[in-house]
Amino acid sequence: MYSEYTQSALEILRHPSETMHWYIIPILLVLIYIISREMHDKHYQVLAGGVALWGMDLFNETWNSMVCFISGYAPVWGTPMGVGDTSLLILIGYNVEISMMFLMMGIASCLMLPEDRKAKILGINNRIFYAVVLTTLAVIIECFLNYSGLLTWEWPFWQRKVPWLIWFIGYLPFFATAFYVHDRPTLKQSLKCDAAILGFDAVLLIVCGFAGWL
Amino acid sequence: MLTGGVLAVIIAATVIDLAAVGIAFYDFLKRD
Repeated sequence: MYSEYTQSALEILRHPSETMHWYIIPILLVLIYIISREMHDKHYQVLAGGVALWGMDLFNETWNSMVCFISGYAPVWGTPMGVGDTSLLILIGYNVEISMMFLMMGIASCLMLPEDRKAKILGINNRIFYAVVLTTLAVIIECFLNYSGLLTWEWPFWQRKVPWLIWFIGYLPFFATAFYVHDRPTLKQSLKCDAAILGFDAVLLIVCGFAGWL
Repeated sequence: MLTGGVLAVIIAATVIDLAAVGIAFYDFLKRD
């Protein structure tokens, strides 16, 4: 039996005729502007890092959907109807605003990185420093979204009281992978990493789609 | 609820996510 929150999310899952709002169009244009700006400045590896973060999140969103439909109860994180209205709920815990946000976050986080890959901050490798700091900030914001009711957490291992799993598998892999892909010696290698992540996502989405887990 | 299938998905996802962190952090620390 699906939880109340999950049932409300299922009612709007991929129903744009019920949820679409005009505000999403200017946000889409802002995203296009950001990508165009980075391409104009030839920051291709920043974009590759951003795509890697977006792809890692899509992996998490897919297995979150699997948990919902295999358990018949709830996703690990959900975005219910009626709170923080979305323009389009793509997967059970993944809306179009989250999707755009993660691409922007990936690009922004890679832009923060010092050019010197070996530079240390407070005695720590700067990539690790940024991954840890940004993960912590992102988890704090997630906790606030959960407190506000926009993100529902219904499993006992994924709660504000026990944020460790959110920290370790919710955000740290996103930033770590984005910085790893950004730092590849050549753009070709960065793009190969992106292709591997997105290819894996695509296979998982196809398999889950046929299994009825989306 | 927390069936074997759900647990398998969460464990597999955790392993994949942490493997990504491991690969990346190994690369970052290799430079030091």
